Amino acid sequence: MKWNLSVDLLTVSFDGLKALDGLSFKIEQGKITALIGPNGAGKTTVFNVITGLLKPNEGEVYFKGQRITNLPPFKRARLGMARTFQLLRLFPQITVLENMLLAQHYSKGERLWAALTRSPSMLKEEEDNRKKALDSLEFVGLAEKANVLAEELSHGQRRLLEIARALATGADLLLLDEPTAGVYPEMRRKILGFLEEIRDQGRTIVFIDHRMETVFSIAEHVIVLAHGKKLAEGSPAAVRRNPKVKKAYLGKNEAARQL
Amino acid sequence: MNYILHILVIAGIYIILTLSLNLLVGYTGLPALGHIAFACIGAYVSALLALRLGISPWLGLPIGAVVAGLLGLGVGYPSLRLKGDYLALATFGLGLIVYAVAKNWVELTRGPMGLPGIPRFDLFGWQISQVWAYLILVTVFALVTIVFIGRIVKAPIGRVLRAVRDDEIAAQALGKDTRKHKLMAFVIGAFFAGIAGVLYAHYITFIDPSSFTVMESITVLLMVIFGGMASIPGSILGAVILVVLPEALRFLGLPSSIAAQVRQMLYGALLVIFMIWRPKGLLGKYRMG
Repeated sequence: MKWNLSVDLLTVSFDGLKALDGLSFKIEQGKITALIGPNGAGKTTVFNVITGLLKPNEGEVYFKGQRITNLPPFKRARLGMARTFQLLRLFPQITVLENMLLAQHYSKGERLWAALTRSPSMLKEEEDNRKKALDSLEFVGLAEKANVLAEELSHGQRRLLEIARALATGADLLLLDEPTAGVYPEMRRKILGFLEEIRDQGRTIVFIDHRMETVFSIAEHVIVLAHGKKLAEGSPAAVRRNPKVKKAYLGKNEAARQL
Repeated sequence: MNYILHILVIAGIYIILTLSLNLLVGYTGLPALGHIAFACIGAYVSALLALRLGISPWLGLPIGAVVAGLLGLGVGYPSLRLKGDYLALATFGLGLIVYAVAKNWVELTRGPMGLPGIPRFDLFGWQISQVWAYLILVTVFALVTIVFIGRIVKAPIGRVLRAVRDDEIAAQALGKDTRKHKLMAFVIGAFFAGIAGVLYAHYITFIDPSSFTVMESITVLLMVIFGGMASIPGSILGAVILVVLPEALRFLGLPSSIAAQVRQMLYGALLVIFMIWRPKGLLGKYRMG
């Protein structure tokens, strides 16, 4: 098996409260992995540690075989990881197309000198990236919104744009924090469809979700967290049968019933 | 006639100040309240070089601008940790400090007595003392500023600045070095404000600390907000209107002591009105908060 990412004995404390408590797991290349667990289990905290927004008190993060524990977030992103956020982080006061363009890798135009001289290679790069961004918008069905401000999109469209933007970075690891939260069933199916297409391109996906139906429909591997520790891990069917998992969800009637 | 040209020279200097502040506030989302401090540095550096060492304003101009840019770097670096209101307060503090130094370092700046007799720019041995000639000079520098900042904000690098403004964490998650971009905005903004200061010093030929009070920073900020956040035509319009408007008060026949107060009240009222009803400003593309 080929590992894309691994976290090793992560511990994160907030004012003495352990959000993560010696957590270790590995993510397999080219698979869809679901990260589930009750509220406060530490799911988003793990994403924050992996992407560098949060420094762990202890433990290490490895990405494609490289130790990245001390790298700042933008350097990790440049190594090929992209994420979306539970509470959506678009650039609201610029257009949808510009949001997409920000995901593109620029070698020239983001340099001051190229901007001042309007170098032909910079203009060419911008032109190419514009085409690519429009293609990506076409792919997710947001092409006609290209010149609209991102803040004017509906909630579902914003989710879609944030995922499309993460995809457009070309990252081979995608960390999606509740990619289908708060969207209509139709949009949810659409988003899940994209995730499977991305996986088929050989990219690796880790996603957090609360809806068991979502998790069991597309995840190939499930990691269950509770109180900052790994409670269980395995195929969706195995996790579903695991008595410890059932117990962790007890009291959360909805989730328990779905299990 | 000379009076009108004089107003245009002043408007040109404010256009440079407003554009350079708009790069920080409107495009990069850094609420800077001490912008006039950079102009103050530029003005004093170039004036002192000319008065004490006899250095030509043509050399004083880049030196003054670079020193202002270095101050921008010095302030920008610690300010990277600050956001929003805290950054606004830190830059406000900078404005107070620079003003206090100009006022109290009497051996160097002559304090409140100011520096009289600052030499003018000259061209092939000919002193640029006519107002129309100075207007051409200021116009050239205003155009340079418009092209320089205009090209930055239109290029992909300008898009990164707006991304930093809209959501810094998301920009980092897309691989953007947001610290570097914020520092760049600080340095370029300070550099051009420094140029504006130099142009002011060698035009009026007298500077004292009272030209560089915190109220002046607020005036420039008002020009940015009024004309339009993240808009270059907006900054030009904002600077011109707010320089010309108070001059119009003179023709109402108000005594000059009252006119100065009315100007301040007018600015204050405009600031409040725009923040409530049109936070983007006249031609703006961004609203704060």
